[in-house]
Amino acid sequence: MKSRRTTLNRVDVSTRRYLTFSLGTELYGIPVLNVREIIRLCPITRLPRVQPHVSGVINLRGTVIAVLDLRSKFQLPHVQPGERACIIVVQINGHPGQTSQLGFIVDAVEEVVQVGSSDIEAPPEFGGVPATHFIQGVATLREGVTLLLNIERIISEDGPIALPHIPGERDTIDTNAKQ
Amino acid sequence: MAEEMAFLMPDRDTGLLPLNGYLMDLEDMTGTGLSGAWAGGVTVVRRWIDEILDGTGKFSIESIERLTGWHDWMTRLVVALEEGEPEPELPQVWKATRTALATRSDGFKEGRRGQTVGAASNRESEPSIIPNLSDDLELLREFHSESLELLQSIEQGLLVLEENPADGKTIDSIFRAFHTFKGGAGFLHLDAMRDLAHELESLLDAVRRSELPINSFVIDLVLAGADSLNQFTAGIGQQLQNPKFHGSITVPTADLLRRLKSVLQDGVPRQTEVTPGLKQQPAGVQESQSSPETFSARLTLQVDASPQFVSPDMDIQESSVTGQVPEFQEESLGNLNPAQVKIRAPERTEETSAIGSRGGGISSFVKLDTAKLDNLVDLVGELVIAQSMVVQNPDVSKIASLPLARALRQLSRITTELQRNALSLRMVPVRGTFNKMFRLVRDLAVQEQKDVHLEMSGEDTELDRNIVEKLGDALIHMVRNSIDHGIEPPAERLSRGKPSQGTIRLSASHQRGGIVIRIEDDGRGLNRDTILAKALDGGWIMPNAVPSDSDIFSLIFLPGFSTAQRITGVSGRGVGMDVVKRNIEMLRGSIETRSELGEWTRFTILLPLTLAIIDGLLVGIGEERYVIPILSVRESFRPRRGMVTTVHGQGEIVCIRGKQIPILRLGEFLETPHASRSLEDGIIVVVESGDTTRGLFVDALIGKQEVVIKSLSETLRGQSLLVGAAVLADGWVGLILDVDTLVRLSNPERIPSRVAAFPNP
Repeated sequence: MKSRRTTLNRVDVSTRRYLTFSLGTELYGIPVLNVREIIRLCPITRLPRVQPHVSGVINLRGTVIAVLDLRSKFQLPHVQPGERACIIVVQINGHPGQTSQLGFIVDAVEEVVQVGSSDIEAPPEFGGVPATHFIQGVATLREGVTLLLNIERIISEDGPIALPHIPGERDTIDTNAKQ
Repeated sequence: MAEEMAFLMPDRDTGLLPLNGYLMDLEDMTGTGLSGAWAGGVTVVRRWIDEILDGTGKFSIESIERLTGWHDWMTRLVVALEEGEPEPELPQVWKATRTALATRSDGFKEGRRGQTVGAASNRESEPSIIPNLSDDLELLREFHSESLELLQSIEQGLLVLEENPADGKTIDSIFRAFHTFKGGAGFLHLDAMRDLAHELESLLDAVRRSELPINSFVIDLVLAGADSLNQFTAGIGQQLQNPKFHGSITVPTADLLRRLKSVLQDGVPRQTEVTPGLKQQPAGVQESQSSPETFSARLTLQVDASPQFVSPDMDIQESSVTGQVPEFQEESLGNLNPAQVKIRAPERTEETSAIGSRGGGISSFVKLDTAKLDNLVDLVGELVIAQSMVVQNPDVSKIASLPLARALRQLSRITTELQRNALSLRMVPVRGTFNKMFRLVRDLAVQEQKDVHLEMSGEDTELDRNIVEKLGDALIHMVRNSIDHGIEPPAERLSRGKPSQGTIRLSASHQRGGIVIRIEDDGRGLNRDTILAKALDGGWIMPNAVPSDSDIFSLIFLPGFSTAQRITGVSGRGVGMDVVKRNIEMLRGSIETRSELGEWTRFTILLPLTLAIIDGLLVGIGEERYVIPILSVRESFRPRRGMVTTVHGQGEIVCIRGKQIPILRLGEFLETPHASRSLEDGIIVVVESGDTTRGLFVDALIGKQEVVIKSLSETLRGQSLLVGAAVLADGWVGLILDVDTLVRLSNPERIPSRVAAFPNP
C-alpha cells in the first residue's frame, strides 16, 4: 500500500502544473487542479473562538467558505496585507463524492508553472518528519526554490505548521543573481 | 447489445454488467408471448452469462465467439419474426451445450455443495469480501447506492409476500433484485456477496417455478440473507466513507449459506409447511445438516450419471426426503389453507401488486447527486438576494420608467417562483422512512409475540430530505415503544374486549405551516396517575403543582424518567423517549402526547417544512452581527437597574417575573468587545433550549430576517457554537448561533466571574 501511494504521487507530480505564490520571500506551489479561483482580498466575517490562523468566512457567490491565513498557519510573522494580497480558493476532496472549498490568504500570486518530475526533488529532512509530511517536493524554478505543498494534508492538520526554509540553493541563486 | 459485445475483450470483465442488464430486458420480453425459439435463445445465453458470472467473471475468447454467434442467430430470429417467416432453428450445438452445461454446472454445484457442507464444520473463517477501493472506487460507490435500493425493495417485497404469498409479480421482482445484486457483486469480485446472492436467487427461482412453497420459513431465510447482504453493503459504505477502514469485510454467513443450500437441495419446507406467523424450524433442515454423508453419496451418483439419468435421480432424492418426514406431509396436506392452495397453482392476479403501491416499483425519477441539488438551491438563494439588490437599488428606483418597473416586477415574480421550485427539489416523500417501519413492526411483533398491524397514511407528504433522514431514528424509537409497552398481548386484548390484533397508525400531513407526523396505537395508553406519582416520588415536579395532562405526559420524555418507571413494571412507556425528543428538537420541531388510559396513545410531531430557511433575529454585538434562531427566543428586554444580581460562583442573574435567568455576555464569550458599557445600555435576549433558559446579552436588536442556512466548510466542523452561516441582505455573512450549545456549554461557572454591573440594591 505504501509503495503504491508513492508511485501515485510521483505520477501526479510528473504531470501537474502548479500555481506559485509567495509569503514574504518564500515561494510555494500548489497543484493547479486544486485551485478553483483567485479573488481579491475582501471583507471577512470573523469567526468566534477558532484557531488564530482561521481568518473567518466569506460569501463567495452564495457559498460561505472559510478563509485561512497561510502566514499564520505557517507560523510566519504577521504583516498588513499588501496590494497584491489575495485569496486563493482551493477545492479539496473530503468525503467520497464531496468537495469542499477553502480560501487561503497569500501575499501575492506569482504564476502557473509546468513542473516536470525531473525538476522536483524529494523534500529535505528539515526539522524531521512532520514538516516534510506537508510537502510533495521541492522544485527549483526560475524565481527560486519552491516548496510544492500537499494541500489536503495541510488542511487536515488543525494546528499551525512549521515548514522548512530551504536556505542552500535559494541563497545560492540569490548570490548568483547578485554576482 | 451488439455494441456492448464489440467491446468485450478476452480475459476482461468489462461489459459484463451492461450485457447482463440487456439480457434481463430480453428476459422480460420473453414473458410477453414471444415464440419458443426466442425463449430458448434467451435461456441459452442466460446460462452462458450466469456461468461467467458464477465462474471467473471474465470473458474468454471462446465465450465471446459463442456470444457473437448467438447474436447473429438472434438477429436472424428477430428479422424472421418481423417478416413472419419461419423461425430459424436453435442450433443443435447450443442445445447440446445447454444440456452439457446444465449437467456440468449441476455436477459442479453438487460438488461445491458437498464440499462446502463437508468443509464447513472444520472451516473456522466466515466468508469475507475485500473491496478494491483503489481500482473500483467509482464502481463500488455506484454498487453501494444501487445495493441499498435493491435491498430496500427486496425487504418491501418480502413483507408484501408474507401477507400475500401468491403475488407472482413480487416474487419476480425480488428474484430480479437478487439477480442484479449477484451481477454487480460478481463484477466487483465480491465473491462472498455474490455467492450469497446466488443462493438466494436460486431459492427464489425455485419459488418462482413453484418448486418450493413460500412460507414464513423461506421468507425468514431470505430476510436473513438480505440482512447479511445489507451488512456487507454497510461495510462497503463505511469503507467508501472513510478509506482508513480499508480491509476485508466479514459477515457471518456460512451457516446461512448452508441452510440455503440444504433447503434448495432437499426442498424440505414443502413438507413442513407452516402457516405464516408461526415460526418454527423445519425438522428436516437440521437433519440434513447433520448428515453430510448423504450429500456426498448423492453427489457421486449425479456426477456419473449421463443426462438421461438425471431425472430418475431427482425422483430418488424426492422420495428419500419425503420418506423421512411422512407425518409432516399428511398433516400439512390436511391443513392446507386457501393461501397455500394458491401457491401450488399461482394465479396471476391483475390487481397492482402491493409492492408497486408501496413505492417499490418502477419510478420515473432522475438520480441526482445531492451536492448538485444543494448547490442549485444555494445559487437560487443568491439570485434572490441579487434580485432584491437590483430592485432596491436607489439609483434604479430613481428611474421613472413604466417598462422598467414592469420588467422588475416580472423579475421578482420569476425569482420567487424559481426559489420555491428549487426548494421543492429537496423535498422527498416520507414514504421511504415510513416503509422501514413495516419491517420493524413485523420483527418486533414476532419477538414480543404480539399481533400488530401497521397502517399508514399520507406517505406522499413531502419533507426536506435532511429532516426525513433524522426523523427515521425518532420514528423507530416510537414505534418500538408502542409495540413494547403500548400494544398488549393478544390474550390481554381479547379480555379487554379489543380485537386481538393491535393497530399502529402512522400518518403524515401538512398542517399549521409545517408537517404533522402522528403515531397512534390502540394499546393500553398512558397512566396519568402512575406517571404523576412517579414524578412526585422522584422529585421531578413540585408536590403542590397542578400539572395539566399534557404536562404530565411530557414527563415521559425526560431522560432517566422512563427507566425508573419501567422498573415498577407499570405502563412503562419511555424507552429512549428522551432521544426522540432531542432528535425532534434538533429538527426544530415539537412533540405532543395525548392518551386515554386503556384505549389509545397518540404522539403528534410537528416539524418545519425545511431546514434550509429559518427565521432569525439579527443582533449586534460590537461591530459584529449574529443571527439567533427566532424559534429559540422567548423574549427580549432592556434590563433596568436592580434586575441583575451577581451570585457568587454563578455569575450574573437577571430576575424577571420571579424567574432567575443566568446571563451570558455574548461579546465576551465570542471575543468581540461590547459597545454597551453596562447591561443597561444593551438588550437581554432570553433563549431556551429544552428546559434551560439563558439570557444572552447583546448590544442591539437589528431586526428579524428570514435567512437561508448555509453550512460552514468542513474545516470548521469541529465547532458547535454556530449552526451555520447566512448571507445577509447586504451580501455580508452573518453567523447563526447554536442556542443549544450556548445554553448547555456555557455554564456561568465556567466563565470567569466578573464584577457586578449593578451593585446589589
